[in-house]
Amino acid sequence: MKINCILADDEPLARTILATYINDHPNLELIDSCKDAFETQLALNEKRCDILFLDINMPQVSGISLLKSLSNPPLVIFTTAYPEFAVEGYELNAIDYLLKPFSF
Amino acid sequence: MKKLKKTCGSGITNQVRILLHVVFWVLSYFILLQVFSLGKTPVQVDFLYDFLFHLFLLAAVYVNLYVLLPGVKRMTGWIFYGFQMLLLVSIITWLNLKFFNEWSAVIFPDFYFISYYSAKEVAQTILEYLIITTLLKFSKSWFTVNELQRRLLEAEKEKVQLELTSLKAQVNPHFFFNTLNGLYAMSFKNNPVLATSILQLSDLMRYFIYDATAETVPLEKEINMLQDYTSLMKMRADEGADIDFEIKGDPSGKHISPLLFISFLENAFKHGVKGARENTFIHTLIEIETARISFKISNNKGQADEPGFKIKGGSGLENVKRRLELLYPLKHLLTIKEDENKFEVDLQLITV
Repeated sequence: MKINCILADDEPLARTILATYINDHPNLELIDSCKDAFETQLALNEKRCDILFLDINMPQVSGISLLKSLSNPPLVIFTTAYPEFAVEGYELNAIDYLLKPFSF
Repeated sequence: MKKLKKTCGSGITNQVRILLHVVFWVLSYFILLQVFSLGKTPVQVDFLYDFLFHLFLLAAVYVNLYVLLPGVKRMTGWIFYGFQMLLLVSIITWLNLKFFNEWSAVIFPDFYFISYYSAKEVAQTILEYLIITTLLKFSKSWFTVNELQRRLLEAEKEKVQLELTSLKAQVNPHFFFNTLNGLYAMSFKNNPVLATSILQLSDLMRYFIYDATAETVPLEKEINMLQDYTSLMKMRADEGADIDFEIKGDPSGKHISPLLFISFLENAFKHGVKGARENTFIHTLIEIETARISFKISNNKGQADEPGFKIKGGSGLENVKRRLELLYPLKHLLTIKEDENKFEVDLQLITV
């Protein structure tokens, strides 16, 4: 069985990297690619998601705020250029914290 | 700061001060000796009279310098000081005459002092001494104040320099990592924009690291940097974002303090592109005239959700305002307008 992934990032180029990596992995299935917190929330409501790749600095609602608002969050991996939010990220039970740019 | 404190005292050490006082009184002793001996070769009684007369002068001068003068704190204090001075002169004159006319016969029975001088003359001499020493004191204070002022100015200048350097270093480091991430993504797909973007980033970095450390830079370079920054941000942003950059006029030959506009551009992206999910726009317009440079930027007003604590460089706008005050005092006009859906900055710099 494949692991369902959703990625959330407002920057198109950042989305393409993650999408490429996820598609390259045989056990991962990219079920949605979102450009802001609202789209992500909708996607999470509609589909069964195991892992959420989440950018922090997104328009209007940051990744951190989004995660805080979820009552039943999936496993979350933060992807960001901000090293200073790692502690806060892990406090929200993120399973990993990837600093951009990152490789496969 | 330590250096400053040291010279705050008076500029001269205590030993030198005492030596100067001794020299003054020795000179005074010999000059008055000539006066008292009436031009003839001074005899023993002249030496003694001169010495005793100086005791009165010493008392008058030091009471004035160390008690009366320091007591004057305000301009109105000088009136009171005038009365004190008159009283001091009267008392010393009275003591002087009393001493030489009556008491000296008891203390020095071997000498007979003729009161050479009238009360008026004695008072006049004492007053002259008081005036001379007060003026000497003032002239010294004048030098001290001058020196102090010079030091203060220097310290102030140093402070401003330091402040300017620290205010400059303010472009958000995340910009670089996010841009590199964009370049990295493009490298996967052999994107034709990649080569241009790498060059833009390297130009930008060269400008920040080398050129922007100078006090002024050619306006052309500053504008190139702003354009590079804008295109790199545009490369990363969603296609729907309406981002443009326009220049009117000829920037060649003009100079400007570096990094004055970048904070506004950074802010526009932070609150515009990152502040709304659609209909985002950032319009930059630079107009160059003979004696004026105007920088206008407008963006959609959004609600950026700054995660966690304040991102470094968040006080960019305050920094720019402070730098404008320091670099273009009374030569800049900064107008910030905002309504429900638009945020506008208009910065005018007078360059002559």
